[in-house]
Formats: sequence, C-alpha cells, structure tokens
Amino acid sequence: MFQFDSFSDFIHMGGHGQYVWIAYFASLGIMAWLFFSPLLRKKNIIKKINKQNHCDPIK
Amino acid sequence: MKKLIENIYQWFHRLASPRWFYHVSGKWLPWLCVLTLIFVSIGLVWGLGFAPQDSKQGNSFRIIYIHVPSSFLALVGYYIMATAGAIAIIWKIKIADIVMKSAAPIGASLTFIALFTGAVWGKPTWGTYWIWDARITSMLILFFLYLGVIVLQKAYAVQGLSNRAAPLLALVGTVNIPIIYKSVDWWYTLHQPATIKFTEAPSMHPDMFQPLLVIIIGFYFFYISALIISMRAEILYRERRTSWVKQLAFNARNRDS
Repeated sequence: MFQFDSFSDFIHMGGHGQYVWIAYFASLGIMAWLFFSPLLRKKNIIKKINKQNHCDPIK
Repeated sequence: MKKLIENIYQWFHRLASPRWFYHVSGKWLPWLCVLTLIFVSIGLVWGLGFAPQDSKQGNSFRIIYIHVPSSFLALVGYYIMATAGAIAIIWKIKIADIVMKSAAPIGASLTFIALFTGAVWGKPTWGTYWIWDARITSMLILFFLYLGVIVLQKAYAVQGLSNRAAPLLALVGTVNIPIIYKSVDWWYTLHQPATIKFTEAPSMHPDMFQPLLVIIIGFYFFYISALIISMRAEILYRERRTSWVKQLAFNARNRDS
C-alpha cells in the first residue's frame, strides 16, 4: 500500500527528501552514464573505421 | 575421455575468442537490458513508495535501495576484475584482459555510488557525512584501488607494453574485500552490522527486505549489461584492423545510411 498521503508528501519524504532524492538522482545518473558512454564509444569506433577504410566523405 | 577433454579445450578456446564473444553477447544483451530495467524499476518503485518507513530513521532509510546493491556489486565486481586480471597474465587470454579493463570503471563508479549514498544517508542518521570507521575507510581504499587499476591500464596502453601492473594491483587488493565484509563484525564501528547473512534469516522486516532483494538482482543484471556493452566497444577497438571488424563496420554503415 502506498506509504504517502500525496505526491508532495512523497517528494517531501517526511523531511528527508533532499537526502533521498540527491542520493537517487546522482546514483541513477552515474549508472546511466555507465550504460550509454560505451555505447557511444562503439558508435564512434565504427564511424572511425569506416572513415579510414571506405573513404567516407566527411559528414 | 580424450574426446571430452578435446571438446572442453575447444569450448575454452572459443570462449577466449573476442570475435565469438562479440557475436554471442550481441544476442544476449537486449534481454539482459530488459531484465535490468524490469528488476531495477520494480525494486525502486517498491522501495521508494511502498515499503514501510523505518521506525528510527524514517524515510531516509529508503536510500538503502541504492546503497546496498551498489556496495554488493562493487565488491563482487572487484573479484571479477581481479580474477580476469589473473587469467590474463597467467594464460595470456585476450578476452580476460578486456574483462578486467571494462570491469574497472564500472566497479569504481559503483564504489563511488556506495560511498556517496552512504554519506548522504549518514547526515540525517548519524549527524555526519563522513567518519573514519573500519567499513567506510576500507570502502574508500577499494575506490582508490579501482582508480589505481584504471590509471595503470591507461599508462600501459599508451606505451604499448605488456600490462602486468594493473592485474597485480588488482590481485594484491583482493585482501581488502573480506576486510570490508567482516569489518563490522571484527571492529566496533559506526556502520551497522550485516543485515543480510548467508546462514541466518535477514534481520530486516520482510516488507522492507523483499524490494531490496529485487533491486539487488536488478543491479546484478545492470552490472553484466554494462560490462558487456563496454567489452563490445573495447573488442571492436582492439580488433579494428581485422577483416571481421571492418566488415561489421561496413555493414553498420549501410544499415544506418
């Protein structure tokens, strides 16, 4: 059963909101970076390989 | 019997091939990502909104749903990194070296998350962001060990020398893991003793414990997914001059344009 009486109560977290949300957002942000940064790296590697090997015109 | 040994040898050799790993991991990765999303979201929503608050700590206790899984995976990830490093120097298997390289930043980030969420949680609970007690200090040491492994790998990559320093540092540091784990039992610390034990029931109410279990599983899936994504990029980079990678890049180009 939902533990809070309203959405603003949920954000407020009984006075501890700033701690809870800073902890959560910083952590999830770092985790998202861990996920997407190597994906981007792979894309760039592929782009570089194609540029070197298949004489792609500079985009 | 000889055939069996030959088969095991072949399987081991295939596993060690970066190309084979790239191909197989590509099939598993989407599922791992989906599982990560499912378990982490359910665990988070459950823990944030539906688990009861702690009688002493109130709602700040909800930070546990990030703090505990990240700590677990930081420790497990260190063993993965050190083991991979050992395999890389002993048997000179390329894929093991790639595992170690990819595991280092993931483990370092998870250790940082554990330290950061712990500090933020400590302020309303203990009145301080930091204290030099056994567990927290040894987690900080773990963070520095991870950074050391990352830095050593970069230094050797630049020089192109065979990299033994990073695996050795990783191996030397493994002694830190049991220290972290047992520190709350061996020493009088501010950090509380273990709630999740292998031999007994957890000392936490099941309504609080169940979402924790769900999100711990989610973090395991997250770790594997992040590791594989990183390894795939590294494989393409290291094998960039081979024909299979050039062919793969060519196909990707035709698909995207």
